[in-house]
Amino acid sequence: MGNSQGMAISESNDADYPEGVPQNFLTPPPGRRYVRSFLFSRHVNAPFARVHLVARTVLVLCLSGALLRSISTTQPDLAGAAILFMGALLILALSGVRPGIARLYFLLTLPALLALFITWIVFNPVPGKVTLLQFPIYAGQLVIGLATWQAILVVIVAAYFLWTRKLFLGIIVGIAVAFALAHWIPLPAWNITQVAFFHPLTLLVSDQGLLIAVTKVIGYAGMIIVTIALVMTARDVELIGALRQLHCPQPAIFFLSTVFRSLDLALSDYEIIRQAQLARAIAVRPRSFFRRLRDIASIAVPLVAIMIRRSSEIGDALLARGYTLGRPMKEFYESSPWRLVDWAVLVSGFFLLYLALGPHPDLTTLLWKGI
Amino acid sequence: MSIAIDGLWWRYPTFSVDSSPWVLRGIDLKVKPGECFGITGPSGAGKTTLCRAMLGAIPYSSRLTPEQLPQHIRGAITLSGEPVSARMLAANHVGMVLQDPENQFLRMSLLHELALGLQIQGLPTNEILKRAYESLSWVGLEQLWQGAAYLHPADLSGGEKQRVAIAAFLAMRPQVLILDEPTSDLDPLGKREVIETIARLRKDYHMTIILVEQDPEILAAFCDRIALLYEGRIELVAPPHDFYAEHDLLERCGASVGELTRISWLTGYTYKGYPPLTLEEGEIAFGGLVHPVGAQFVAPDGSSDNLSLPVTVTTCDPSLSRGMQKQEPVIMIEDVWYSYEDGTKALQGVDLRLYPGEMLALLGPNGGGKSTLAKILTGIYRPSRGRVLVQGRDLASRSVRAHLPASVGYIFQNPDHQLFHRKVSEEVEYGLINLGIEATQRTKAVKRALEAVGLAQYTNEDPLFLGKGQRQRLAVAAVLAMEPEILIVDEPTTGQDYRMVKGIMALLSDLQQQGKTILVITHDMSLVAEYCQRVVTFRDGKRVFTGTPTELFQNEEVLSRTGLRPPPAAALSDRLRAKYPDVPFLLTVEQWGRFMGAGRP
Repeated sequence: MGNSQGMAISESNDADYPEGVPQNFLTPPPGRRYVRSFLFSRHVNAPFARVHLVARTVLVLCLSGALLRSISTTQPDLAGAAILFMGALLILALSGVRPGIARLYFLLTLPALLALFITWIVFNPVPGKVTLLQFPIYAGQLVIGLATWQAILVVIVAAYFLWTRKLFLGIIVGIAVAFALAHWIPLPAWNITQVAFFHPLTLLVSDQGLLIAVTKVIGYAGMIIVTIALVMTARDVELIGALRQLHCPQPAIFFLSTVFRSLDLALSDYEIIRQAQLARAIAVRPRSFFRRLRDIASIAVPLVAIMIRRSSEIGDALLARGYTLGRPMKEFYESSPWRLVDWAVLVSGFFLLYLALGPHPDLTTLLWKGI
Repeated sequence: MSIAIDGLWWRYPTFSVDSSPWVLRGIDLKVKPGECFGITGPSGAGKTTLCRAMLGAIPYSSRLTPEQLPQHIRGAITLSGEPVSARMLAANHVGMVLQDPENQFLRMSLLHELALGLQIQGLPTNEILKRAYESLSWVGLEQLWQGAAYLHPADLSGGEKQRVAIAAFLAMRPQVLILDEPTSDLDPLGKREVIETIARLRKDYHMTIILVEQDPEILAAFCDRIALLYEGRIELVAPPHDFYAEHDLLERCGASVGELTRISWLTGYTYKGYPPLTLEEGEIAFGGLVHPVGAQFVAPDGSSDNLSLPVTVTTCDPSLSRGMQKQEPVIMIEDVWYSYEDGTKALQGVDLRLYPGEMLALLGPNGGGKSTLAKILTGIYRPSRGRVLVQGRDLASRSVRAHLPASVGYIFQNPDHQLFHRKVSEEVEYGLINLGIEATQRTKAVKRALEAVGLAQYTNEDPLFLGKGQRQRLAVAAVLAMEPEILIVDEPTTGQDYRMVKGIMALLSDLQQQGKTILVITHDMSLVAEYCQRVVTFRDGKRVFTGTPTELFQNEEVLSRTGLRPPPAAALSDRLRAKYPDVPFLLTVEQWGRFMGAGRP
């Protein structure tokens, strides 16, 4: 067939081409390096995209399972997580995602990973062989009463809000100042009662705690990366083909296909609506958190109105093509054949699943023993 | 008979006890096989509903019980003598191309879009391939076949999408193809592509076509007969010449009428007793009546006019523009570049000045950079390179950009994208609250803005239930209330009927008279000729031309580079000037009227 470098499409479609029809409809358009996928775009000949969608999905799920196992709190496997992370990076590299987009999304996940690292360190004081830092931050009891630092905090937050109409930075600065003053100066306080709540919190950084936190961050980063690779390489036609091969009901497949197309339209509508909000001065003055929430909620009005109008036309367009619920649809260059490479990927996936569910090798311990 | 409609009445079901009004009222129509039948009429006349009825979607998709049906539909529709039914709908004897190409692109690749109807029909793979390729060739897009499986709707232009929609139906071999305002959302190039496709279908395949259109030039050029639909009734069915001779009826119903017809109505000059519909007919109708005698023209009644004609009546008087240019510009753009995230260069070194009180048009094909520039001027985008000054303030500053909505108002093409509230007054107030205007001032500003656009009586209405023209005016009011000095209006007339276009342009013209500076992005050359003092044309992110409409419409090279065409009045004038060089260049119907001596014959 003519698709030497294009998508892998069912060989059963290849027999007896009609005369006069060029066979290049499955080869990439001339000069085009990237094609659109679900949400973004990927390289036309990305190796990972040439693997069957089902095999890709299984691999990503199994790799995520193995990563989850490697970041277990009781038996963290830093070396295992790092190796699996490298595997995730390799998959991303093979997925043909635009480098700029991949970089952007990875950078966007960095704050989440950093927050995860800090949260783990603060809320999970795991004792280890070496304690690097130990600092009690909460005694496990809420003190009800009045204190000078509270007044300082309220004054700083209120003054900042009146000055800038913003809250967040005011709260941070207020807490920092109140904390510092309360720590260094004996400020008067009047306790009324104490209520036990939660458990005492201690900022305890030990070698084991650090190991777990780093392992978790690497593990979650790996999962994010393979998910990005899967979403960015998948195309709706592949999904429809895969669902057909899995014998999903035709109405469900068609519904999903229409949902993806509608989502595509909704995304472009959302962008215009957001711009229309900017044109109506939403960025002129600082806005409170609740005001921002209301701004986001108000997007729903035009978005829903447009989607309703669109759905009516989409319904007409479907009727005009003769579509009725339950009417079978002929397969047409949607399903991909299952090839050797897909079996190989599937076997790799099951091997990773075995690592996740079976006896865990714990590479870190093995390496440590070796050293 | 291809399609016959006898006494068709239809009203939509409602969720309330009260019945909705009849949308179609006793329609009687007969469309012959191979005929190109035009339907026109103002917005809300029932054109799309009639198309849906001919398609078979009405009443079969409205889920009415047999007992309910007589309350909603009366009369009959037959296709080749057989009643249109749900079974016939499934058999795809009738295809229907909608106005918005986005909404009918149901799959995410060109190949599968072409194949969808055929997949539903259950045809063999090879037959689907053959028909898909053939139909793509019929609409002149065979070059897109290579990689058709990879081409996403977003990779195609508006014109290409609409032609793909036509091809998708052609592949299904319908007996009748209904085209519901297929060109109204397209730029001039896309429009021309679709028109040429329709012409080819007529010439080569003798297909029965029902064409719903507002554009009289298209209707007159392609249709054997045209029907006027008004308030659900067929008021007139006639061949184009007879149709456009019905001056009083067309005026009363607010139907869109071509410029040549308007000149004929205004001056009384005709082509063989009918208003001229083509430039050739216009040349004969009007050209023979202006015999240059020295510096004078002799009109048919024997009276003569001096060459220094009183054609200074419109706002697009160049001297007005020159006067404005003596003032400090309100917008100054110097060497501005803008690139999107995917690397597309939307603007490449653009320079532009906008002077206070002028109405300037940004013209050019889609993707030329017009909307990008507008979004830079409203602070939505930040230029990648270059300098933009708005009222002397540099947009490099984030704070200046954030405060721009107070001085630059942006009215988007589709009003539905910019209506955020469920009450008209709250909608207008939204921007004022964002600007931090106090309550009493807000109330006054809302009242003023709604009065200015003629919506004062709808203060407590839900914007979603207003008509499209009213929603468009509400969008203008919402921006107007913020009292910006500069207004940017994106495609104000797209998909609107003649009266709506006149209404919205009269409003903008009034605002200009009040001292507002207006920048209009448009594909409507009649609007440009009638209202704009200056035009700037773009292509591929570069400024190609700056000048007056007169200069633009006489510049063949720029018109060809930017895919623009002069409005018929200007085109006719240009043709006549080739024969009679002393004829002044006339841009608008009004100028023609004055030149010819309105109502003289």
